[in-house]
Amino acid sequence: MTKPLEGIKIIDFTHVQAGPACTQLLAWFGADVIKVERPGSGDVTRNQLRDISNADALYFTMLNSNKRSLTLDTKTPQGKDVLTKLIKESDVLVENFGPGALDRMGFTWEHIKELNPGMIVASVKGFSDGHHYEDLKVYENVAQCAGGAASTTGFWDGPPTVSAAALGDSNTGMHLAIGILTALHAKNKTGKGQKVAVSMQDSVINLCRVKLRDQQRLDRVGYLEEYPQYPHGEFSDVVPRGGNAGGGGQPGWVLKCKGWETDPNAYIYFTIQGHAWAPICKALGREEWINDPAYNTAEARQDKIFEIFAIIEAWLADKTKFEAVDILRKFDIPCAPVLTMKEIANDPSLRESGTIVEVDHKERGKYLTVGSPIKFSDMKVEITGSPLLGEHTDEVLADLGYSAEQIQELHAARAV
Amino acid sequence: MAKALEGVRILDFTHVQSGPTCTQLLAWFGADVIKVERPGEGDVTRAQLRDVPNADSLYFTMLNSNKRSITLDTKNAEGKKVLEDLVKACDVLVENFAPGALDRMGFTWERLQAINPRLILASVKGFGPGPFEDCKVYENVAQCTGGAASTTGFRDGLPMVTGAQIGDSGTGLHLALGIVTALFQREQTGRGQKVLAAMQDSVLNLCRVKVRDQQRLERGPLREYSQFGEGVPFGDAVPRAGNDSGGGQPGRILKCKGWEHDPNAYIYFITQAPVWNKICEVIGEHTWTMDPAYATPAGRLPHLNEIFTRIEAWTMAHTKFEAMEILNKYDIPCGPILSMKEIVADESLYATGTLVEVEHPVRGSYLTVGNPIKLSDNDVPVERSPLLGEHTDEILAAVLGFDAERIAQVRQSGALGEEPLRQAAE
Repeated sequence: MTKPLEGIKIIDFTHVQAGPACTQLLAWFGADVIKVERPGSGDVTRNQLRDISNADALYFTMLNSNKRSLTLDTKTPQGKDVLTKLIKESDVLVENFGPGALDRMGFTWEHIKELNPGMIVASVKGFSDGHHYEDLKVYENVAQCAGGAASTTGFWDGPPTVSAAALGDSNTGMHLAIGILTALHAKNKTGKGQKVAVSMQDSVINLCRVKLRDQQRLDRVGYLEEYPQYPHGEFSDVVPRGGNAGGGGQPGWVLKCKGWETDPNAYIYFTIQGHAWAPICKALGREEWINDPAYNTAEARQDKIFEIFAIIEAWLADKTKFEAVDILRKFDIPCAPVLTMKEIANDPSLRESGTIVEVDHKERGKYLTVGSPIKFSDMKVEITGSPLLGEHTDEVLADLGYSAEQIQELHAARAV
Repeated sequence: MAKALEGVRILDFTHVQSGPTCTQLLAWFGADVIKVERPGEGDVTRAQLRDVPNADSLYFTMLNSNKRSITLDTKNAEGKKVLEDLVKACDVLVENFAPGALDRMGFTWERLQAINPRLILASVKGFGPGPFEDCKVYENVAQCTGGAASTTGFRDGLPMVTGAQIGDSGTGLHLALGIVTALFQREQTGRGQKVLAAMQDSVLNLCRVKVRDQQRLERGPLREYSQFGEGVPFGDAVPRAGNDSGGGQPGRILKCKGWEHDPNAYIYFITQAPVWNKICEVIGEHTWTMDPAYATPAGRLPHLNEIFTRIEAWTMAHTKFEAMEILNKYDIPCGPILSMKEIVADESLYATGTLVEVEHPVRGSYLTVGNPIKLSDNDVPVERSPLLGEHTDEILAAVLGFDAERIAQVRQSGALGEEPLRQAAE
């Protein structure tokens, strides 16, 4: 069966996380991704946070699978020739250089369009073009802070807090992949390429849409009834941090389970959904609350929500997170265990579905990686190991029509 | 100029957040998104967390712009017929019902394929196949099961959820990615397929580096985590790292002038190795550039608390914006913690179309987050969300080709509900 992106050739000028997450996904969907790297060192993550000396770091191997690596010195004239050829034969160029770097290399958008009018040039930026911070270099947590996530994450009496989820990096890569595929779809009809750009700040803001909603609600009514600050605390004129509260108007919290004193992840998330009130009372053995007007509406519960959570916590004290979830599920009460990375890495369902995949690597042996989170009925995503630096240089050059002799010359000129 | 997804018609059976985020984005790319809603109430978020009585809530209006709304009772026999016609007329059906709901409505994948072999069926689920497959999943449940909560927050505190909607909006984006991929493939194959994004998987996809750290941990301590420098031993699962930065360059959130009263008077500060000397210059610790205990990244690891306390003494003497201006001159990576209020006031974000103000006939104007993905040839203005059933007649006539008589017949059956435009009349 052919893969969705079979026949699509991508020049991958990206490094570290945001860009590589994007091109890796496109490679899984069948695109031929040629990762262009600096001779000698390559992507800086090949040796960042190494766990095995002399083998590519997991940072690299988990973001660059299914790609081919070409080492190319784009400062040499021969290197520029190779890149020109590549541009003529490819469909997409993806980059996450600093602003203006591609231009300085001599490959402006106008020049690229001349070489290949169908070319899609996709870029990750820190801030959008035209933003007053557009020249800043942006890292994951800087994006989280500039995109409103940090200001709205954490406890109200604590500092702004960053999320472990890569809202700035991987998430921006996913946004860029959507843009590339959309542009490819358009190119199918028009034959024309276009520029696609996604900024890290924008991608974070795009996931904080409901906090922008809350800012406008706060401006209008002065309080946010689903936040733990209501009804006892005070609201300022800025969306506050809501701790572990549920966002959608159903009170929820992270609650301790058996073993929390020693296990930092012995917790479940518990949601007091309006229509599940009676089952919750039954599960807790507090049937008298079912019809008690002091408890039986969301409004009545609002000012004692933390007392109720404390009672649920007392009920949880002799149950592990998994036992608790198994009991509560029977009552159709929305809840979930807080899963650790260790538990996720060993989860048989995630292995089965291909979300967690074990891959072979020439130097480091087997490693785990997160596979495609998007499942297709007509495609089984196959994940191969990441390439060694320059592993496919000769192969890619031969594909471009270089003879063995010419390839020798490129090596001699240190262009590759 | 033609829009990227012009000619693509989407049957939008989604509600609340994950699905609507997905279809809204596709609408911005030029797709014709037809939102099918229950007569009477429609998407539950129209009435959730309302700030203006009797007007669609911001929850709804910010996730359903550029769409058309048709009210349809799919339990009604006429309604089922209309739905079948819509399935024939559309390229993609997007849904985030509970597992099995579409089957129970009589629209199994086999039947959908029989009606329209080119149809792409895109679904948001909580979990992929496995023991939790049938569980309903909400934002924070996804964050807890996707590994984000266990690795977010402080070492000595609770697992923590993030305000960013990685479970809902995040999964919607993953689904959009799947849909455009399947649309692209259909050009070659002529066939549709099923596309699925699970919320747990989508969260995990953003926690890739924590899966990396889990495997590194099995080979030794995580040296870039603050607890390593503090001599706190690691357990066997990736711990919470507070506000540490992940990539090996130590970073923290530090207080700025006014932090006592302003919960957002903070700056993110990264002690990037190449600019260490400049950092020492700014804060006036000149000896730290030579002292072996401070001059190298490895030497600094056991002193990070002391170093950041010293830097914080400097940041606390400046507002976050003053500090940022000074640090930028030295190329020291940093970022102010922007509150939602500050983001809303940022003119640049309006200039780039990331923030947009839209007019709404019932609630007046409101702000929304526009398209974060900028395509040079895809200029789609963000339009307001539709009123409930606003386009029912238009869709029946223009999309399905019904004449006035047929529309009257469908209406009489009750399949469109009784007062589809009730809200507009208020």
